[in-house]
Amino acid sequence: MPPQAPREIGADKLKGRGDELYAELLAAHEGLSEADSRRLNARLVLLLLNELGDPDHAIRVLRDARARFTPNDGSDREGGA
Amino acid sequence: MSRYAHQRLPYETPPELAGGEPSQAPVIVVGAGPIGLAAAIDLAQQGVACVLVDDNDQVSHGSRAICWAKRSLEILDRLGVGQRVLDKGVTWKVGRLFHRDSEVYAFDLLPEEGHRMPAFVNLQQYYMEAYLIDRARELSAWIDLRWKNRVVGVQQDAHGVRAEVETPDGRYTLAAQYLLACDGAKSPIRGMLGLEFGGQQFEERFLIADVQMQADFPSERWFWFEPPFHPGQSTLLHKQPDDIYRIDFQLGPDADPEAEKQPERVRPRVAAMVGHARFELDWVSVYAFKCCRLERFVHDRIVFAGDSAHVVSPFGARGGNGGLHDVDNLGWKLAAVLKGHAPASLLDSYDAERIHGADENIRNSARATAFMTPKSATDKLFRDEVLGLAADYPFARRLVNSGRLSVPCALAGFALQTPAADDSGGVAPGEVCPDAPVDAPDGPGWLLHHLGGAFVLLAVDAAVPAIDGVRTVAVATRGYAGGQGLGDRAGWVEARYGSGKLYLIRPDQHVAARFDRVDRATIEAALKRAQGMPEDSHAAPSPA
Repeated sequence: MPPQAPREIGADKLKGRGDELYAELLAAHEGLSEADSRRLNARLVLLLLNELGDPDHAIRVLRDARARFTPNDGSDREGGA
Repeated sequence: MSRYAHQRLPYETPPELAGGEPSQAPVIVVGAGPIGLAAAIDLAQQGVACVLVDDNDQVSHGSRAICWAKRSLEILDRLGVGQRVLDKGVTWKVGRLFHRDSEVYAFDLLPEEGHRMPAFVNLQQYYMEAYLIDRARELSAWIDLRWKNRVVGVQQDAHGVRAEVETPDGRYTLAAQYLLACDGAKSPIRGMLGLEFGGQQFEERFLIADVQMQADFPSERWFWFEPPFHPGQSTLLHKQPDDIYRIDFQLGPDADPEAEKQPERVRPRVAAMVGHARFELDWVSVYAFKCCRLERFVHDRIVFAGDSAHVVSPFGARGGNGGLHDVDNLGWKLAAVLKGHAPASLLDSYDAERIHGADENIRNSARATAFMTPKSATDKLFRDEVLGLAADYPFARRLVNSGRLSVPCALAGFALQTPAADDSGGVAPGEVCPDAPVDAPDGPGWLLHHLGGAFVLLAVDAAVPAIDGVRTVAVATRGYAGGQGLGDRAGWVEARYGSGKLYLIRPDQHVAARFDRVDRATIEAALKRAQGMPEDSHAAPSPA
């Protein structure tokens, strides 16, 4: 079997329902303290990694997100990838 | 304090200092812990003599390595102590994980039948060493056990290796072809060679308490994250023989090792966990750990095995078990080299295969440690949410990591193995042979008892060609009527190995090659490869 090309990261796959999903995301966090929101986000990341069902793609997404991420407080200066 | 009755092992003046014949043994094994003893026994069973020196004259103080995994038990069985270990040890296969006051997940490490050995046996290291010493004494024609013999210097050249040994009667020199350094995590030999032991040091401290008590904990591995009796930390419970329980308390990075060892500090921790004070402390230790390995295990004529070559965290039982896998891999290769059946370069495959195994053990144990001891607030957040999700979601239960317990590593892709020509099922090259119940001419038994110790050609429902230097074992999955060969007593041979197949099996019970038809040239080529012979060695020798 020829190797499949990696799935593209960031192309729009939300089927025109982006606003609805964004609203659902905010609704999921509504009324939570900042600490609890952080907890819920951690939960969501774990759940979505599983729901993606594609470990190779999940690893690419994680790495891509970190690579394009600029820390606000410069705490990334020491490397720590 | 220990309930085990330690006895002094007899020191004798070595013949080199008593005016006798100096040792002619081709191998020096340094360190009579489980790994050195197992290595000496494996060599002896191959007919290779060794001098086994140890700087002490007692078996291990403290239970130390207690969890012996299925593959290790199979190796110990091959070395002749499997039954004793089974008889004395506590057999278990279920692990339970708790978070706070509720159970989140239970796993069964050996859910299928048809194996002689269980998933795990818990047995204190002092018993393991005592049994191996008894076995080594049975092999005294090959194993020269020397207690209170400390190696203080080593030298090697193209012809051999020499060890300077210190005894109560003075110093002498041992000469041999090879030296196995099985001298533990602090390996003096490693130091004498000036070898770097690189890796990761973990700050976290742990308390081990061996507690003797009457209790009705089942024979299972129980692990708690943040239990009510030890808030914010983790705790691990194992059952050992003699009514002794191993309890491992996480203490955090700032714990004072000396203070935490004191009974007045230990007893309240144990009492909080077991709910009463009717117990004796049998052994207490506070430790931190590293995950390190040597860059290479083979240094010409000095070969490292066990903790001297690699150390891991204890979570996952990959230390002692990993060391026995080293012995399993090394014994037959060193014997073949010493007998002139293989080039010295065969030992390079020990380096490659066991570095692969050590890296797998280090990776697994470092990941377990990262889960158990989160190093930042974010790491802790994810850890806690995995534990929270585990109650509701199956995927999260499998992310809960209290140690990924030792399993044999696959050796596919390494030089000795021949890739299978097809993917038609059965055991893949590089894997350990799975056991199965068989009928044999002398009654019911186990397949693994017929494999190992030499190269074996295993034929399942297939004709077996006679090949020089290879033992043949034929299994009939149908219609076994006694006589020659083996029968598939419960269908597990066919289920695991398939039918109409030939396997070339290494002396360490790993599959070197799998064939779907009998073709002598192909089998002979695979055998040469598995013996570390050059690919073109069947060519006519060049004129002298």
